[in-house]
Amino acid sequence: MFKKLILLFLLFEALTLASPALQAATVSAQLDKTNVNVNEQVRLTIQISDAQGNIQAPRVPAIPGFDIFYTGRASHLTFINNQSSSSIEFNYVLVPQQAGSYNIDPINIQVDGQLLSTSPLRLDVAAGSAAPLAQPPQRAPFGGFTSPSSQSPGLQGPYQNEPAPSLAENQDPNIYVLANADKLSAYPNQQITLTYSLYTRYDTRFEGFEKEPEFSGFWIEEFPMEQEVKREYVNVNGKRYLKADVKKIALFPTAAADYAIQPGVIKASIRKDPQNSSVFDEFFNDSFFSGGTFFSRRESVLLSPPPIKIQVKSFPEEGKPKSFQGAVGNFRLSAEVDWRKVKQDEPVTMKLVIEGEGNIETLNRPEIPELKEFKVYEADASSQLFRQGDTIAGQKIYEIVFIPTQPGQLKIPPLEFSYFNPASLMYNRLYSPELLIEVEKSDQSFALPTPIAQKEEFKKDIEMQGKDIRFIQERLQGTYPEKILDFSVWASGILDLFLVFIYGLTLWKQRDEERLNKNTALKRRRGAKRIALERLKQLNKKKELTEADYFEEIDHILTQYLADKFNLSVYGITRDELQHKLQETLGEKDSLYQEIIKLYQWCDEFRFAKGSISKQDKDKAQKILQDAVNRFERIKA
Amino acid sequence: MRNLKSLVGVLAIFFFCSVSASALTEDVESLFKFGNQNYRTGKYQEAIKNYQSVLELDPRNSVAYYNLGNAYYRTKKIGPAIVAYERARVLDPRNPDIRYNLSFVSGQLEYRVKDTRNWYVKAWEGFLAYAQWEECLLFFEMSLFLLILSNLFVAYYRKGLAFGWLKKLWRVLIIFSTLLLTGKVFESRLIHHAIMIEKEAPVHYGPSDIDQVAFKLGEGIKVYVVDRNSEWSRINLTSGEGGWIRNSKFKEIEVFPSGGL
Repeated sequence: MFKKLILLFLLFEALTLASPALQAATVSAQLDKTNVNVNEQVRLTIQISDAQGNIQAPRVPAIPGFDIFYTGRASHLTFINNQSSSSIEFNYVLVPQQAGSYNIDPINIQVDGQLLSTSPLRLDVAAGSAAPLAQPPQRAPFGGFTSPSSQSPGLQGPYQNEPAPSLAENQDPNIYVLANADKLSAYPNQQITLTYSLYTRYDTRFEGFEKEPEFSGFWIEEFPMEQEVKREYVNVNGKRYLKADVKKIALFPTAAADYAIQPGVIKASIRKDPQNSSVFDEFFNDSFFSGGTFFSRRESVLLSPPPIKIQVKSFPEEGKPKSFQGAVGNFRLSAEVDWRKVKQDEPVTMKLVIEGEGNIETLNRPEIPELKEFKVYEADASSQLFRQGDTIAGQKIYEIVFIPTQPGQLKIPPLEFSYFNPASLMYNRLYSPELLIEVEKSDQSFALPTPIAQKEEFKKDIEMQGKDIRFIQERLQGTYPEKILDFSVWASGILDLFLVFIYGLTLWKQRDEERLNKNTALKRRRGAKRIALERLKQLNKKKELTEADYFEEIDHILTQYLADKFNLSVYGITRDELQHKLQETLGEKDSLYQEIIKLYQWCDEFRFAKGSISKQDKDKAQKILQDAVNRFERIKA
Repeated sequence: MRNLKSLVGVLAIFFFCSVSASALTEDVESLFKFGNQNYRTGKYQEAIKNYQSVLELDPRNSVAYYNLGNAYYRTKKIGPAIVAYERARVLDPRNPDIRYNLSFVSGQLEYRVKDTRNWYVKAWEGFLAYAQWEECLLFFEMSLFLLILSNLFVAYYRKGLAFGWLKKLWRVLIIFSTLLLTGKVFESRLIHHAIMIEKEAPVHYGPSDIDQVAFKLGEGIKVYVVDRNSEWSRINLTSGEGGWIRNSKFKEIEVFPSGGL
């Protein structure tokens, strides 16, 4: 049985693998280079092919010694020979912080309900970082817009005066962290830049977050760390501090509400050596982010910036366009198609690009009006993030497939995209150009390409146009099901009653048997007639018996019967004892008594008689025995 | 000779019954078709009369009740439509069309009664609404049959069933079917469901017009009739409120042998 099951399973597996319709999704990961220097950027691309439905960006696990940043996704849809294939790429930038050889473990991704893993990757990081330090690298996704802060990374002067923060009583005033938001009031999806500034009078090394900040209600984009942290001397309460912006995070609120951001707990290590503590100009370059002296005695400190309250306002209702879907920032829109002249039922792919400053990832595609002359299928979108100074920017590209269903000069109408500009506090509308497509007639009838039809992302949801009651039923229901039900109820009921009766009878019989087993006298009395009649029957079947044997057997049957009735031993009983018992029970004058005695006498006579005995005599003896039994049965014990 | 006469008599009665039943079925079918024809051509009042005639002849016809509900709905009579759908549901509890239309029409009611009963009461009521009481009885009988049969087997052969779990299953089955049957009998025979058919009707604190009005009920609201006299009935709502209302303001859902609509 087990072997059969295994065979069936293997057969099923073989059929599944052989079926071309069931293409499984695949994932892969690759690095754009495998030998880099410290602080040199490496691009990690995770590609997912032939997946169905929408896929969340995979979370790359933390790799010790690396800073990792997600930089966007890109989706590709290709039509070759009327066959389509799709893939989604998720892009990340890795910045190694220490030299060495690293193995990047497989990254697990949930695709179509399955957990898939990428292959492990290897990356060699060399110690030399002179070139990047001398000239900070152009960070590929962020490289187009170099941060002004990174262009002058050195110490700045003259010293600015800054107000003293209110610190907890037990906190060391020589080192603290402030988390500053560039605005405390914003609109949903408007960027708020949160900067963590470390103020210190010690030789300090920033070691990251001890407790991660809580940003519930916000979409987060982290800024990558600069090669050289922006730092400056400031005067606070007449004391000179070194101020360093150690972390920057762009926050995009998702809905209008009042939020309280918990900035988390930052860990730093300090050296309180008085000899070094005064050399402010040097310690920072030596130890901050770079490791410090190996044998120096350091002490860890935890720094908790105070929470920040942010108010997120609702969008103004005045002038809000119908096409507004929550985009905030400053955007540009462009669109083009890959073919201007196609045959009927051949796909045309429209590339719609929205770019600018704002939260690119949460942008929604402009609505496409109902087009009778086209079948429209939305391919997935790709997005690319950039950093433009302290602002998150980028572009989102939508690929939309239009399949013309009729010949002629067809138009793809302008698509409207609107956004709210927080700088001007106005809503702006953008329109894609009207696109003309010349469609030649084709004899082939429209059929959705099979690969498209099999993919979930191309399926359109059914939209209810209206609601009403369902139509009347036009055929009378047959009465048979109801009759069958009624019949079943009756039949089942009768069957149950019958079974109950049988069950009751069985129980009664069993109890009677138990009672008889306990009372031997009663059992013998009850069974006496049955035994007597059975023996009589047996006697009649025996043809070769002599007269003497016949009457001897009649004698035995009668004696056995009476012994059973009186609960006496068959073997030890005498004729006198029996006669005495019969007298007690029936009385001497009772006719039954007389007949039994007479039968015994007959038996004795015929047993020892020499002459032949007629058949009538035998029958008569048998009749007397049967009458005696029957009459005796009627007598109550 | 006498036996022959009896046999002829029985056959004659059987033949007469068959012919009558056949004629009745033909009448029902033709009336039903007239009703559908009238419905299709928008003559909803005529369709209502046809379906009512069908129900006079065949009072347990769920399809006729369903179509009658549709015809009432088309004439904007929400209350009677819901009564008809509810009756159709009693007779054919798992029909998706009946359930859909009942839900659709109930969704258009002006009034809403909050259901403050315990979740398990609501769940149990919802569960019972998926079965006819005859089905519950049959299920109980089948369970009883299996139980007795297994006991008989044990009694006869004086040994337990081959599988211990089977014996436990019968017990669970008989307990569940008993509960189901009891619940269904309670729901369909002891609790009287009714639907408001007046646009708006006052519910009083007592069985007379001079008693203070407690609240007003709108058309289509489902109530539970807990007591009734010749003119007034005491009703309860799922929200816990209750009162007295005139009998003419509502229709009971029970499927009467003589129709009722």
